[in-house]
Amino acid sequence: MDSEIKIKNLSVAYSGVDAITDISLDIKKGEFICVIGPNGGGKTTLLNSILGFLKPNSGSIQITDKNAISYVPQTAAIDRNFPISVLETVLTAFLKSGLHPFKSFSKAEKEKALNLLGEVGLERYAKRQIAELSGGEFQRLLIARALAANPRILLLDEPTANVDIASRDRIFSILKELNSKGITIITVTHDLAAVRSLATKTVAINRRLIYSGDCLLDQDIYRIMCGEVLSSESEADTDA
Amino acid sequence: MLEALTKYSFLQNALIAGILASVLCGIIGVIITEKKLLIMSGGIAHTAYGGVGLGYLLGFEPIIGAGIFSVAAALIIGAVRRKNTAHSDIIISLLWSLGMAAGIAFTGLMPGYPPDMNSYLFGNILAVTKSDIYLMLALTLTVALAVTLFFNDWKTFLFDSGFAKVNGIKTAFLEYLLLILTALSIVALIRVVGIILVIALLSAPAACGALLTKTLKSRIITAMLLSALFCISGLTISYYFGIASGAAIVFISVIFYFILLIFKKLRTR
Repeated sequence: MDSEIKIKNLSVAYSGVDAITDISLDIKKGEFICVIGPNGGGKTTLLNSILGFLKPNSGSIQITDKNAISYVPQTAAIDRNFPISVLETVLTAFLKSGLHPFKSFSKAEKEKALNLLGEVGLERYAKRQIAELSGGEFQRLLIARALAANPRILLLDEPTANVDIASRDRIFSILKELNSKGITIITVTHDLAAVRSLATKTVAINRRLIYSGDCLLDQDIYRIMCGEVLSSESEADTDA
Repeated sequence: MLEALTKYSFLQNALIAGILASVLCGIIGVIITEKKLLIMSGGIAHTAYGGVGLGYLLGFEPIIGAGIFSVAAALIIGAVRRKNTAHSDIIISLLWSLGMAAGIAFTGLMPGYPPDMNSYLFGNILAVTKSDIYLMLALTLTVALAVTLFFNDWKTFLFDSGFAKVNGIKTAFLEYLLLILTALSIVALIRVVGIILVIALLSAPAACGALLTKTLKSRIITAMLLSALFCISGLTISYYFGIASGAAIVFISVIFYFILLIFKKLRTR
């Protein structure tokens, strides 16, 4: 399989304190990767480094096509009272590269945005303000916005945090379908069910890479979430 | 008052200044409120006082000094914010105090009696001159053009700058442009409400707009209209009761906001 993202010996530090150290990963086309680890283990740092929000202290990240990446942030990071409608939120993804003087959205763009809202089950909420959506609906809206950017690689930060089980299942089926269409997915998660039912590969980090490979047993995932290092027989495989 | 308005050019200037200030408050006030930059704009405004003092000391127009200091403060804060958000609060606080200290020190160094700085601290819309109006007009047109031209880029940036960056929008350019426009708007508003009161005129109309409207565009327009209402009614109160115009404008803005807030809370009960 072709590589989409190659991370070599990546180290990132905040104010002199290491957040992640010497991480190497080869992310292949079409993979569904769940990044797990304890709180403060560097999962979001890894994601933010791939997105270009953070500069590495050492090491490198090679992305085959930076324009092919789209992103679903944590819902908690966004002001839900911002005056924007559901449809407008998706339309913002059509503004790509540079600045767009006097831009008004075409009929085709509005139709495409409505179709994407339909795919995530939000078409009837198009005219509503985002403040009127539930947590799960808002998460699906952010996925629709990311899809409007037409990505080949989708990065998500805790897509099922603070959503109910029905919403979580809906998000899972959307992500599964996207992956089946060939979109490479990398998601940071604390959700055991996500790792179990979605991942084709699990990456566990706790400041360092502690595992990269096939899905783990539940008890191993639990131990990783608690910050324990796995025993030698299940430690990082060769692709790191 | 209408008769006086036709008779006295200082009242006409005050009215024009109030309208121009309202356009600025509507646009920049809403944007910095949504982007949570109000405290930063307070820092920029107070840093301007150093420029006013330097202008008096070196004998050039104090408002130009205010402009130079404000823009410099905006650029410093912008650079620190991009490096480390946690440190920006410290830098804002330090620039805030440093600007005030510099203003006091510079005017203290002047030979003879120090100048009256009250009109810069608390504003005096009735003392606005024709050249002040030309300056305000130029700044208002610049801000209005910059925001109208890239309106959808601004909306994307304000809503989620991280996503905008990943999507290739020039977020660094928009961030610095916003800081510079904020600094220039503050300079224009200093003559109307002064350095100390400028935050109220930037925040109150925008906050009222947030209570009354749902879209960014309507929020900006509402804030503009309310700001004009506050300026004109403040001016009228100042004319009839002899209260300082800046203080009257701020009183009305803040009281109006709280009445609106209580009314809204009661309605949604």
